[in-house]
Amino acid sequence: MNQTHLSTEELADYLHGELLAPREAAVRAHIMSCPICERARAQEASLIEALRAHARRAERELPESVVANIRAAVAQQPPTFWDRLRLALRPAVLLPSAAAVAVALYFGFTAMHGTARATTIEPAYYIDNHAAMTATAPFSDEAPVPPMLTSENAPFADERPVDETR
Amino acid sequence: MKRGKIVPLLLAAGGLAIIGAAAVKPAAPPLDATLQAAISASSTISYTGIVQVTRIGNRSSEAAVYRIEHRAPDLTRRVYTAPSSLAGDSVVSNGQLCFSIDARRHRIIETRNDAAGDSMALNANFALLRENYRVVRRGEEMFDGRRTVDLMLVNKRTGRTAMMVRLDRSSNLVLEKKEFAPNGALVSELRFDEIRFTRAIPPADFALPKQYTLVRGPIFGAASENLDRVVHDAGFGAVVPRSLPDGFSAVEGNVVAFRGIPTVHLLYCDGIRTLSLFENAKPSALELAHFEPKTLVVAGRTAQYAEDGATALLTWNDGTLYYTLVGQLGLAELQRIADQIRKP
Repeated sequence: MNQTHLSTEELADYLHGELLAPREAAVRAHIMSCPICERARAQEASLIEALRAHARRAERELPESVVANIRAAVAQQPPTFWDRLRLALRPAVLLPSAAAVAVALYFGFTAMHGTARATTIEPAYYIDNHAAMTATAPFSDEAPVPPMLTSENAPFADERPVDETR
Repeated sequence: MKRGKIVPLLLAAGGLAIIGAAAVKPAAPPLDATLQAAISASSTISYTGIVQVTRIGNRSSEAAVYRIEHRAPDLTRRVYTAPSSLAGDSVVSNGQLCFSIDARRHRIIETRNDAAGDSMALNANFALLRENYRVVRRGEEMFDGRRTVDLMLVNKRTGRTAMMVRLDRSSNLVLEKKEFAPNGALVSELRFDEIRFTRAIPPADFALPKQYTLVRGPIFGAASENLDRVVHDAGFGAVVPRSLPDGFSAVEGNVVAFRGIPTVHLLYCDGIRTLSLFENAKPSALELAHFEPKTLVVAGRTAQYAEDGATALLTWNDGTLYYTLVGQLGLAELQRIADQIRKP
């Protein structure tokens, strides 16, 4: 039997499971046959457990106010170029932006080429207003067929023009 | 100088003065007075009768026959007997209000024309008539059993007759009227038969049927002779030609909205014929496909020309303003007028 006792370092490694398997088996056999080393192992194990217990007690949650201050401080930090790029390219921003660009390109193109969508106006608006204002012309007549009575195709009255200057 | 010689000289001088004064301020020409009386006759005379009216267009024409009952100054009822699509329909007008009674749809469409009866515009138009037309008395005839006075209105520029009116000699009411195009073609005709002068027209004749639905129709706003104000109110830089070829002068105008687009409406008149110029500043196009429009060039721009019965429309734009001319004029006249409408 080897009377050489185990060192503190080797006992610590043994307790942390960091020895190679042959050495771990030899150390375990020595501790079982050597009361001094067994006592040292017990003391070392007790010390390790005491440190872990202390560490658990010292591990506390940060107060909410501290967390809020930290987050505020982070938010005030100017974003980096990559931060900004990543923010701009997220889908919630990218898709509407792409649609807006497409619309702007369409209308810009059509306006430049003079083919902007025009409002369609029925000739009756012009003809009826012309007829109304000619009432003061000498020898003017009503239209032979009153537009309001063109039963088959006259537009409804509320679709006719209404003067907005009144 | 002896007194015996002075008196004859004074008498002679007085006589010359009277003759001179008469020469400086002559009596109004009787034809002018007759013409004015004819234009305003219906405001003082009540009557009934049958009216036939026709407007002749190049592509299509319109004609109607109606019985008219008129009580001066401005209450009128027309009951249509032709065309068949209007048979049974009637129109009751009372000054600026007009009620179109649609027998098929059992509805009455109420419209209002605030431009009607504008005395300033009436006077301006009569002045233009005298400026541009010469009144020629053709003679006296008999028409439907009544003695008439026939007048021709001859265009001073072209020397062509633009209108013939046959007036009832006693009342000056127009019994027949023919209007001619510059090339002499007949463009409209009105004939008044079975005329009776009476104020004994029962009020019930002008009543509206109670069982019909009353529908609010368009309101045509009053027009203003202040064209600068009209353009200012429109809010865009409309072009306002004060005069146009062939004796047309701007008489009045207003601002209307077509499909929400503010539009300046200017009325031009040469005394007989009228022409409307509409302008707006937003992209707009007339829906002319139904009228099979012609495409042509006006003031260097592509334009479209169409006819709705006897009414012609010419529309074009210069990139910023959108123009439409409307009137009972031919294509050549409209095109010549449109060529004069340019931005300063």
